[in-house]
Amino acid sequence: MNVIEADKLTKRYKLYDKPSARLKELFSKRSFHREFTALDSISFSIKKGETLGIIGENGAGKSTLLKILSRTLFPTSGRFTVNGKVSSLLELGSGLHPEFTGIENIYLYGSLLGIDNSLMKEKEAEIIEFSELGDFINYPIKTYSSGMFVRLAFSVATAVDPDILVIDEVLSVGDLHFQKKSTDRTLLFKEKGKTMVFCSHEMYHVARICDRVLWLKNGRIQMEGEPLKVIQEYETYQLAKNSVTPELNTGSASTETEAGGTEKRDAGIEDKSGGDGQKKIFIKKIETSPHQNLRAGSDLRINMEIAAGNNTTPYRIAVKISTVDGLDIIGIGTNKIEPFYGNRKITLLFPKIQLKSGTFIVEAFAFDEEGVYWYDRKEAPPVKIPRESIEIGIVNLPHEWIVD
Amino acid sequence: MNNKLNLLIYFLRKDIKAKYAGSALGILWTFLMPAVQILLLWFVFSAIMKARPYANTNMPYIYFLLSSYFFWLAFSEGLMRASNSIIENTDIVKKISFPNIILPVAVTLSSYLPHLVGFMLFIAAYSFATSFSPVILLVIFIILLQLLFSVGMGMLFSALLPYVRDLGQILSQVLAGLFFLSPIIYSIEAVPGKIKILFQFNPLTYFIISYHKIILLREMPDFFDISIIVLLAAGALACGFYAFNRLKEGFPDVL
Repeated sequence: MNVIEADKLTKRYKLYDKPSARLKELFSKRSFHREFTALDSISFSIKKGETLGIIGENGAGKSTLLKILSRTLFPTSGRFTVNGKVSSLLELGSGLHPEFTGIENIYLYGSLLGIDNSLMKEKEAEIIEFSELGDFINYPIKTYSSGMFVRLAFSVATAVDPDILVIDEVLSVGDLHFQKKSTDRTLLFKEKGKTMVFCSHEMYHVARICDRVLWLKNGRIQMEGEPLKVIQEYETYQLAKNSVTPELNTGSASTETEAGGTEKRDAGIEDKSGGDGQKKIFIKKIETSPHQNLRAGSDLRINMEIAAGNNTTPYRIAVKISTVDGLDIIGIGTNKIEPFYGNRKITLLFPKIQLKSGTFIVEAFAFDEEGVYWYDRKEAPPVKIPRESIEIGIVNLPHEWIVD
Repeated sequence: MNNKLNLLIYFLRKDIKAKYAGSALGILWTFLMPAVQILLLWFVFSAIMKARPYANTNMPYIYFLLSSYFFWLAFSEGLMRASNSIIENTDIVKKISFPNIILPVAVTLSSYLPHLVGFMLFIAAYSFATSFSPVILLVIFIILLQLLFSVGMGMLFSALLPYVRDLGQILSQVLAGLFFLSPIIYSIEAVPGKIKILFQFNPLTYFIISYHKIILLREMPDFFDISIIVLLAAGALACGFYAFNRLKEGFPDVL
C-alpha cells in the first residue's frame, strides 16, 4: 500500500523585485515576476513502512519537497496524496511559546500538531521523561537553553505516534547523549514499521536508515533506487564537481579538466617532453584489469606499455592512484629497481586491493632517472569500486579488535 | 473539531498572556486605555461642546457614549489585530501545518473580551443608576452578530494583508473614518439630512443604532436594522471564509 503518492509535483516560486510588483500584478494582465522552479514535475510513491531518503545539493529542492509533504507548502501543480498522520520534524520548536511553561507547551505543540488533549495527557509523563527536563518542565521555556528547547520539541513531535515521520537532519539534537537517544528513537520508528521520509547530507545516516533513496538535482529526480547505489553515484558526482570547481574559478583555459588538475598538482615537476616536439619516452597504453566488476579485496593490475624513442635513455615509471577530487592515495615508483631502457610492458600488481568504494583515478608517469622530470603521463579510465557496506573511508587498513 | 477548539483556546490564552507579559501594570492596561479615551471624549463633548444626544431628553452624554463605545473599541481593535494575525505569526504559518484560520478568530475573540467586561461594568452601573429592564438582554443578540461580522472581516483582512501589506495603513484610516461617520460620539439626529446618507453606507451605523435603541430607549430595535445586521454578519463570514480559504495556500510564498 502506498502511503504517500506524488504525481508530477511542481513548485514554482514567483520572485518579485519589490512587494509593490505583486500588487501591480493583481491589477494588470502583465506579469511582473520571474519564476524559480524548485520542484519540476516530480513523481514518486512511498510504501507503508518504507524509509525514503532524500539527498541532493543545497537548492536541489529537498526542503521544498519536505515542506510539501508536511503540508506547510502547497505545490503549484501536481497531485499529492497522503494516507495517515504526518509528524514533521522540520524546524523543530517553531510554535512553542516562550511565556508558557514546558508542560503548557507540550499541550500547545500537541494541538498544533493536531493531537487530542486526551492523548496528550497519556503521553505527558513519557514526554517529560524523554526530554530530561526535570523541574524545568514547570518553568516558562524562555528560561530554557537552546538544547533544552529542542529536546522538548523533539520529545513531543516524536511521542505523538505519527504514521509518517518527516525528518530533516534532526538526528543530532542536543548534546551527544541526547543525540544518541534521538537517533535510537528515530530508528525505533523504523522498527515499528512506520513510514519515514528522511533528508540528510550525512550519507552514512542515509545508508544506515533508508530503504530507498531519491536523489534530487535542480528540482528533478536525478536517480532513485537502492541507497548504496544512489549514494555512490551522488558521491561520485559531488567529488567530480568539487574537483572541477577550482579550475573554473581560476579561469583556466584547459578544457580537459583532468589534465588541468594534474598539471597544477605536479607543478613542481618540469615537463621535459615539450620543446623538441618528440617525446623521448611515452606511455602508449595504460589500462587496469579487471576494469569491470572490480571489487574491494580483489587483485588490481595496472598494465602499461611504454614506447621509447631510443634504447639509451633511462627512465622510471611511477603510478599514482587518487580520488576524483584530487586526494592522492598512493604514489609509487620504480626508483628502487634499475631504470628501464627501450620499449617495455610493465604491470603493477596490487594484490587484494584494500580500497573501499568510490571512483579512483589511476595515472602513470614516465620519469627520468632522477625522478625529477617527467617525459609523459597518461591516465587510465577511472576505476570504480562499488559500495558494499555502509562503512565510510577510502582505504581498509589491517586491523583487529581487542576486547578486554 | 475538538482539536480546533483546543487550538482556539490555546491561541486565545497565548494572545492574552503575550499581551501582558513583561508589563508592570499588566492587565490593568486593558482597562486604563479605554478609560482615558472615554474621559477625554466625555470631557470634550459633554463639558466643552455641551452635546445632548437626544434633543428632547436629559439623557446624560456618558450613557449615550458608553452604550456603543465599547463595541466600537472591540470592533476596531479586533479588526486591526486580526488583520495582522497571519503576518505576525509568519513563523508558525510557514512551518507548521494547522488550520490557520484559527489565528484571526482567536485574536478577534481576545480583543472583544476586555471590552465586553467594560460594557458589563457599564450596564451594571447604568442599571443601578436608572433601572434594569429585561429588554437590555436583547443586546446579547446584537453583540453575537457583531462578533460574527468582526470575525468575518478579520478573516478577510488577515488573508489579504500578507499579499498587500499597504492595506494595513489604509485600514486604519478607513476605521478612523468609520468612527467619525457613525453615531458613536453624537446622535444621528444631529446629522443634516443630506449627509445622513453617508451614514447608511457605514455598516457600524446599524449596530450602533440598535444598541442605542435597546439600551437607552429600551425599545425593540428596528426590523430593518436587524435585517441589515444579519446580512452584514452572514456576508462578512461568507466572504471572509471564502477569501481565506482561497488565499491561504499562498501564505508560505508571500510571507
